[in-house]
Amino acid sequence: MNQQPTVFLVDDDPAMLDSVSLLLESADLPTECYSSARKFLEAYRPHRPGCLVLDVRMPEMSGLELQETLAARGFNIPIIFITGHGDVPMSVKAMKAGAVDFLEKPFDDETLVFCVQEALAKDARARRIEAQNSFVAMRFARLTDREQEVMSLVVAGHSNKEIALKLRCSHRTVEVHRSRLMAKMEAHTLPELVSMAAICGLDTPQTEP
Amino acid sequence: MISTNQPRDDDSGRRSSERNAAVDVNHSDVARGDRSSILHRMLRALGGVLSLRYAQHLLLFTVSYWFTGELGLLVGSGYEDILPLWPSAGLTLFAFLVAGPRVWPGVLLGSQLLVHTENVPWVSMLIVAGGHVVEAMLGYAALHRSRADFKYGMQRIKDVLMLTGCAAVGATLIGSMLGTFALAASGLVPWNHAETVWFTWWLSDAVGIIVVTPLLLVWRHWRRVRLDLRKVSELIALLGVVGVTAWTNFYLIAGYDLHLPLVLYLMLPFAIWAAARFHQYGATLVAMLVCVVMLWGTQHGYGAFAPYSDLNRLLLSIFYIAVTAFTALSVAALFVERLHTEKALFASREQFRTLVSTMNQGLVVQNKDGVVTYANDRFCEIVGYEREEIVGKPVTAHIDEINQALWLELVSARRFDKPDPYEPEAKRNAHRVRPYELEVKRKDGRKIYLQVSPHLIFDETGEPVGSFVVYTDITRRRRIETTLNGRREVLERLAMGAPLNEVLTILAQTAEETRADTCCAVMVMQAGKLKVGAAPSLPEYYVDALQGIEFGDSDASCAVAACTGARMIVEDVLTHPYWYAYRRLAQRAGVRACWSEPIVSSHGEILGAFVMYHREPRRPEQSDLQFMAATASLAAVAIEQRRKEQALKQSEARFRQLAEHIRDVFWMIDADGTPCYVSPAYERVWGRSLQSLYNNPRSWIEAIHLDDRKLIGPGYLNEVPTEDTEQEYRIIQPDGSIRWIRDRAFAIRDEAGEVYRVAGIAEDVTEHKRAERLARKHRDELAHMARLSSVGEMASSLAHELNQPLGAVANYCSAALRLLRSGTDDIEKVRRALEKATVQAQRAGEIIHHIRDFLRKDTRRRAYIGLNDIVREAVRLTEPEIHQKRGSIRLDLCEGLPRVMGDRIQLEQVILNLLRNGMEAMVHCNAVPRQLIVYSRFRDERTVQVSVRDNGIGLDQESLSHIFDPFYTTKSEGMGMGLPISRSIIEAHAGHLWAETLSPPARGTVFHFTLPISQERAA
Repeated sequence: MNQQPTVFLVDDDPAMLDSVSLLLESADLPTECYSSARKFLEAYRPHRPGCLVLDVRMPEMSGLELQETLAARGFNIPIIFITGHGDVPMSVKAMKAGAVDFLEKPFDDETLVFCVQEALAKDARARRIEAQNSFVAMRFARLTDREQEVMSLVVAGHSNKEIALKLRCSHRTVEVHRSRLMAKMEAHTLPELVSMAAICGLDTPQTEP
Repeated sequence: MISTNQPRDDDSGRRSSERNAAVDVNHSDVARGDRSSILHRMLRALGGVLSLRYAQHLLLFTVSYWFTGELGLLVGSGYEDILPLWPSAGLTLFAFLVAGPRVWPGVLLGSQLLVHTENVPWVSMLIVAGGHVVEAMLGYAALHRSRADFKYGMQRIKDVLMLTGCAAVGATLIGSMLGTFALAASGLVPWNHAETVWFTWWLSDAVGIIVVTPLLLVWRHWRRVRLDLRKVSELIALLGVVGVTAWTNFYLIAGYDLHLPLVLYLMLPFAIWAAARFHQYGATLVAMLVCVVMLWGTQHGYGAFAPYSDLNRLLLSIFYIAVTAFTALSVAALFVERLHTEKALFASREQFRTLVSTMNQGLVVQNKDGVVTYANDRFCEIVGYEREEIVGKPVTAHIDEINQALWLELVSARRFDKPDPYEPEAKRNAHRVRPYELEVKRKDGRKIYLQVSPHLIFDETGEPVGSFVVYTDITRRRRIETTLNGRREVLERLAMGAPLNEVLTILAQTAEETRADTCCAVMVMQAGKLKVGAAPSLPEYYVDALQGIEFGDSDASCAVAACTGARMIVEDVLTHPYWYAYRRLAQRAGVRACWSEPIVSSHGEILGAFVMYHREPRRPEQSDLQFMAATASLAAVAIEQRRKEQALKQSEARFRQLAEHIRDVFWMIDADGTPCYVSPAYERVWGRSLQSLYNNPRSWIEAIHLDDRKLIGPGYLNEVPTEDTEQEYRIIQPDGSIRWIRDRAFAIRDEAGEVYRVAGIAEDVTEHKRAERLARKHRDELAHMARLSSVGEMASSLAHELNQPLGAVANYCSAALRLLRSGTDDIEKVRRALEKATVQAQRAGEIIHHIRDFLRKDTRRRAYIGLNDIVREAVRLTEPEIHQKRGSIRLDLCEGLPRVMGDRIQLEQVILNLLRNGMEAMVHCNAVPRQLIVYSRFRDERTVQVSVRDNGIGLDQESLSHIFDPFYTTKSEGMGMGLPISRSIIEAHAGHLWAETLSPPARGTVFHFTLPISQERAA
């Protein structure tokens, strides 16, 4: 969780790779260098936080192709593209596919550092949200079927009475279920519970006519 | 007398069937001397008289005369030396008839002999003899008249009457009168006795002739008489009975006083018996016998006439003899005559019978009511009935009912058709029954055709009593006619193009008509199966069963025939193995015999089978086989012909489909230029109707564009091409649109090699042409694009190559700066970064250097090229662009420039760049007119120079010094690489590129480049 984020550099030109690495290290950003897209794919593990600085024009697999492959595998690592002279259609395509930025060589060192820091921050944010979501899901899984049922009715906005009527049980029973599920979900307020339900994928059921 | 009688004798001898040899000799002698004089003839006759044979005859006659005279005398003397019976008279006539009258001296000689022997006074004897000669002469003459036709055989009444009337009665009357007169005149006989003498004489001579002459004449040929034992004994018995009767009459009975006639009549039955049984032979014998007995009796005073006086007795007996002899002779003649008639009748009947039975026609005799009274064998054979079944019944009982009416009508119409002799000829002919033809059913049911020729029979009164009908079997002829008609009809239908099934049906029907009691079928081979081509009289279920028999099916005889190509005769389908599977079917259809003949084409290909069915088991005759073969060959002709036609039709249809659906115009013209076929595509391509073309064949030519008409020459337009040609021309459609046509013509030659037709294909190549033009344009554009993109590619690649080291340099430097700014103490790190930056900066320099080297050293594509060609090519490529910008290019090229060594593409690129540069400069300053001038020339003996001049605003001094720097540009969109690259290229070719601004009043800029003349040229 508290792993140090890494900047992964992929470029076929060793001088470029080395110089960018040196530049980022001078800004206290740890880097890992790969001379081709294939090597990077082999080495990369998705749990490692960080971002990717990628040359568009490479032999074998181009930067855009690598981006597609990563997306296909479900890795959401932020990508900064570097290109000799990019044209508009290519950059649009890359940005649409989720690239963080598109830098044209030769680029300003401040810009690069800024972009990398932005990308790292974005990555950290995403990872944090994902972790939170997985907790909620874990808690929801601990609920009994009846409690899940009651929860879905609660977040749908039904009163205890309505729920009792619907589930053909006493008002009291509903209240017990409700307080218990609130405790289990570690939800202090009803809106909190509603947002959790959204994370768990509980759709608000249709109110009956 | 002698001389005059001689020819008559010859005549008689010639006429007589019973001439003797002497007469023959004389006759031939006389005949030889026919033309000689009378004297000569007399001498000849004398010679004949004096011949030995005559002497013999004379002697024989004389002796016979004397002998018979003695016999006569023996009978008894009559009155005054006149004998009551004088057989010598008969002998004389016989001698005259047989030996000719020339033997007359025998009479005198014989009588003189008698004078001597019997003491008769010779004078009277001579006179009597003379009388006898005269009467014999007269008798001979009478019998030998040319019209008398007297036959010595005495077989006819006529002969008997002639002998009796003329010779015995007539001639003796005259002779006796003359003799008596002579006697009386000479005083030998007193006048008052003359009458009695004459009468006695006459009578005695007449009886002598009646009795003796026939006897001698008849019995002369006694050797010819063939008598068997029975006849001989009968004759002896007869003569015996006659003798006894006569004896009884004249000797025994005479003693009693009986009535005369009763006794006399007793002789008649015997005379008739003799005449009936032995004819002349018996009659003459009996007459003689009666005569002898009678006279003997009378002489001696017995018999029926005994009571009378001598003379009367004598005369009566002579009368009696004469009557008896005449009666016997007459009856004999009647019998013989009748016998002859019977024989002739029998012979003629036999002839008729033979004729009728051997004639090839049927003959039927019918009475008035149509009942058959006679039918010959042939008729029975024709209609197949026994004679007993026919005779006695009306003929209609056996003739087909249909024709019965016809027959009855005919008979009733003709029955009382009495021929009227007063009717005009034409009308009579109209009544005549003409032969007509009938279809008749035989007893066995077979149908035959008869030609009937009836003839009505009339009796003496002209009433019709019946008819006489001749039937001719014309079945064979009719069959041949039917066959021929059928063949003709089949061929006619075939020629008229009737469907094959119809033709085959007629064929089968004809066969059925021709061959009685058959059903015919024609099987046709279609795709390995036998189909029924025609079966006009077979039941439908049978035809269905026949359909689609497999070729070679061993269970069907027709299939076997078709398969093996051999005739297949099944005499009885119930027992034949090939029919095992079809037995029930055959039984149901009533088929018993099946003969199949394969139908084979002229090439030996099997087309099917001709099948004949019969209801009875039957074996074919030779004629049937011939008929089947002939019919099968006709069927082969029909099928083959129809197949050929079908193939032709199909091929024609295919051709037509091809011709009419093809987009090109397919045309065909005769040698005289008349179009015989033009495919409908013409209407689409030419835009004119086909009819208008057929009406005016020239409209094809008239549609051709005038310019092209000149181009393709008058020969093509006015004459039919005699060899294969290919032309391309434009035509103008009526609406004015133009189409390109590629017209190819092929001459079609006959066997003699003469062109009699020309076929061709006119193809509408308008689209093709357009596409071709477009393709060429595209190709040019692509080439242009390729050139342009190669420049772009190079620039892009260059940028990337330079970007890498430059980027690295920037990064290193930035990193070093950051380190220094952060106040790090790691100087080493900073130094390393700067070192690396230096390396990368050097690397960038090397890249630039390499590019120059590359341009200079890339000599792979170099060749000897004409500079003017390159200029023209570049101008052609840029022209569209120039025109689009409303500019123009003028060329001023020096011809005869030597070739240079260079890269065509690169040099073209240079010129292209210069042209485009100039054009852009002119557009930039809105120059008018926008004209580019390209000129080439020798600069000196080793270099050529190409210049591109524009009339733009020109370049100032500042610009002139920079235009060849990379990325220097005065234009907003330019990259600034065109001119530096161009200069690189030219310098790589060991040439120079520079620019100058024209000094006023001229405007614009001129770019020049020079290239060295190639070594090859210099050498």
